[in-house]
Amino acid sequence: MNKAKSKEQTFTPSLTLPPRGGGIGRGAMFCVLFSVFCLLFIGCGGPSATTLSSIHAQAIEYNRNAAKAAEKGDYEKALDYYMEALRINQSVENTEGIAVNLINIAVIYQKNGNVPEAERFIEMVFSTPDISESIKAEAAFEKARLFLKEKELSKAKEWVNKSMALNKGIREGSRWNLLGRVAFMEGRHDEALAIANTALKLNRENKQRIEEANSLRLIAEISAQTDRYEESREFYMRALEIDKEAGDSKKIAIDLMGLGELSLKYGRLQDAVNFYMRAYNVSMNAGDMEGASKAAGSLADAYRKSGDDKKAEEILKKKSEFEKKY
Amino acid sequence: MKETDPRFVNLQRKVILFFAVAVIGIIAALVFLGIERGAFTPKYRIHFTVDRGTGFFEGMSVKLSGFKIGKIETLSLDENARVKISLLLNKKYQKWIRQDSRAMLTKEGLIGEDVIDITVGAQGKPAIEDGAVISYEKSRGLDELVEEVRPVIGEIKDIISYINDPDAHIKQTLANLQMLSFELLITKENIDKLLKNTDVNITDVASSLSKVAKNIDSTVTDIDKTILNIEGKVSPAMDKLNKTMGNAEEATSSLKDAIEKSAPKLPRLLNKGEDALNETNEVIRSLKQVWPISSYIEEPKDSLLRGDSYE
Repeated sequence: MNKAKSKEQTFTPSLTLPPRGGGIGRGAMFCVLFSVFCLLFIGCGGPSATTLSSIHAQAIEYNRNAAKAAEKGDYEKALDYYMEALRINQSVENTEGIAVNLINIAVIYQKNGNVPEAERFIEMVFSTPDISESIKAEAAFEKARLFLKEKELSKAKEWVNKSMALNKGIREGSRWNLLGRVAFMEGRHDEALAIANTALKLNRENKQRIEEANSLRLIAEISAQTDRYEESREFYMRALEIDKEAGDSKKIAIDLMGLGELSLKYGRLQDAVNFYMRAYNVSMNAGDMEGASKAAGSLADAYRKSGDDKKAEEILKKKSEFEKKY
Repeated sequence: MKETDPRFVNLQRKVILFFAVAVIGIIAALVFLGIERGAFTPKYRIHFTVDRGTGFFEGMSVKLSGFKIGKIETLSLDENARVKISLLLNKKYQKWIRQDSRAMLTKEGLIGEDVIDITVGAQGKPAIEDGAVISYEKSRGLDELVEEVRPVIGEIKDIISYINDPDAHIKQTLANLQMLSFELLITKENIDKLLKNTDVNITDVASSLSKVAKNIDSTVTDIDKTILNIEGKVSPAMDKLNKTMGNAEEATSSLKDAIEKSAPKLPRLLNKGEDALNETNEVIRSLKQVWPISSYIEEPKDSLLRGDSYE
């Protein structure tokens, strides 16, 4: 019986049969052949890249150049490029491209302080057909920012809520930040703090570092207003760290100015002088003359309060000199 | 050992067949590649000698009427330290490479690849034989073109500096004209005064008629003098103006010549540059579609400039 079993086992087919006549094994041979075929046909697979029509590619090129110019602070050039991108997109009725460039133009006009033009371009977005909810949400947010700039707080709140109703996405935290700022400006500090904390959580989850710094700064401002020195200082420091990481000079100067104001409020005059001096240096070297002028004014004030009128005069003289120059 | 499972019957034969198909496929691919690359095409060699081997390299394309017909096979120094360049050409094009054909080093496009261009020989001349010498002609490069344009630029510079020179006729003439107009103004004022005096005199006709007559006489004399003065100044100024016009005409014709010399070359240079850029763009676009590069390239789209909640 055992013998019979052993005989049956001998005839069991297997892919690892011993080699015949000293040649290579069958499994090895399969492997070699499979490799040969793989080598022969490698490179035939893989997705092909999406090809754009030259007119679309041209519009995208203008859009990219505009973004680069805006990053460098050359808003005039950025506006020219965005206008050209808009014209090209309009010539082929690329509605998504039209809406994106309309929003971008509005953002640039807002940065330039031309609020009526920014509003005009944002209104055009809402009359553009067949655009996605996310773009509409971005346009609504931009409109809310414009209302906030004009201190029309209830309208700003209305449009932020519209933006959130349209689409939340990873930018939800920025919407909450704006709502928090509205509440803070209305003097509802507790509500503003709760909103800012929600915004902070969302921005951290969605890895929106710039907006995370905005949440931290907002909490710091609310804390300063509600007499919580330590907390305010800590949040300003954390916002400063992120802004330094992002290399945003304007925001760095804002954080330092906030720290200066906080120090001045609590009688830490030397700290205030140091923070204002740092803010002044950052703004001057970044070419932000408006920021530098503001920092110089605060610095002179801090010097005067600490009894150093001579230095206060020197700073004010310097301030008036470069205000004349620019 | 005997296999009873029907799946493994004739397994060895199947494997061998499978392997044979693969090997045949590879051999066919190699043969096809060889044919594509002209490995089996009959060839012949010709050579030429140059003073310097700069710009030549082994494998460099040889073209006839823009069509690749071979390559540089070897570069070597001869006994006189000159560079002997041996070309390996397809035999089928031998009939067009005749005794008066010339080889020259040239560029494909303005910034394109260096190639050896061979000119087609005159009909009736015998074809160059295997191992024979072809004459080499030095081609004109961008440097030579720049050298040609340089005197033209120099001439334009001279003309501009001539016009700008404060001592030049144009400037002097303008100064003279300014002086002339100023003096004419004074004359006009004199005439106005005279007319006023005349009015006064007319009211006092009875008492000072003789005085008036004298005044008129002297005034007329003044006018005569003034007119003479004007004439004396206008005529040299007119002469100078004429000379200046002549100079300006000469300058214009020199400028026209300069432009005529350089103008036909500029569009060609620009076109070549544009062609080269277009070709580069095409190559890059094609490369972008090749796997695996394509998988790393994101689909381009209009980017949105996102508003900051703190601005």
